[in-house]
Amino acid sequence: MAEPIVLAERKGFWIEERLLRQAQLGERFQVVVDPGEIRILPERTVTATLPYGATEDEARTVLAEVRAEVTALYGGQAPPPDQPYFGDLTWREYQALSEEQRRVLWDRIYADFNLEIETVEERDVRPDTLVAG
Amino acid sequence: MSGQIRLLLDKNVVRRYFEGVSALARGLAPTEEEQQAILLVHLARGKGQRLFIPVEISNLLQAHRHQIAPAEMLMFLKRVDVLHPSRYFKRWARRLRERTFTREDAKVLTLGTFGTDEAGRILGAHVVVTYDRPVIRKWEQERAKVAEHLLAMTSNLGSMHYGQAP
Repeated sequence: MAEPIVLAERKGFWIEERLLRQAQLGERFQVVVDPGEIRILPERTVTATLPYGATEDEARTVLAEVRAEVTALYGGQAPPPDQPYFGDLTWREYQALSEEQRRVLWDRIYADFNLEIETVEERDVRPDTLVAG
Repeated sequence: MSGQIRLLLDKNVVRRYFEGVSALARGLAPTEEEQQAILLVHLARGKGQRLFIPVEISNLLQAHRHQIAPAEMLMFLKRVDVLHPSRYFKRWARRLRERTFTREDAKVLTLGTFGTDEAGRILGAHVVVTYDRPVIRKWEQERAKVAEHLLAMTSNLGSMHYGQAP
């Protein structure tokens, strides 16, 4: 566990070079300022965040489209929070679960479908099958 | 020729997708990982990539379809196909289990090598997508030895010509 280090204030906050090196952030990094916190991240972490190298604008557009699609499927309004959602839980109940509790819930339900290797049914592929590679 | 790039999504990616779209449906902001899962699924086709889920996940979604958010389910299933075990699946999954991968991880990784679609036209995926950091670390540690074992096994498979790294 890393020890907390209190930074000195000298015309703003001053972070010694050795500390930046110790953090192994690489040569380039980004400073992200949010309410209540300032994060210094390796540049690769920031740029690798979105799949397919999508830009923030592209991401916003896709999320807006997804929201429109799901809203339309629900008839133009959010589904009631007390409607069944997953694993015998309503959305309200599911949303109240911690990340760990959600993982455990999915694992428990998945266990019913996680067949023993020896009982798995194998299929033949075509002679002209396209092999990944 | 290997056709389109094929991505195999594990259970945790599927979960993030459902949670993220459900959040959007209720006017909430998805988390970073949920956004990644949504973008992965919705941008794939435009990027010339094809998405797959393990047959177990497909079975889970189908069995619970009356309990799982219906709109999210519809949106997800029309964008993914199912990867089924092909010949040699059991043999290779057993090998991975011997390397102490869990049964679930061994089966997902094996589908990445010996998984096929409904028509048997493809074999394996180019990428397995997961948020499971322990399995990523373990895979990175074991990758070279796993590839050696796979090469040894596939060289003895007779007329079928696999020869690809997992």
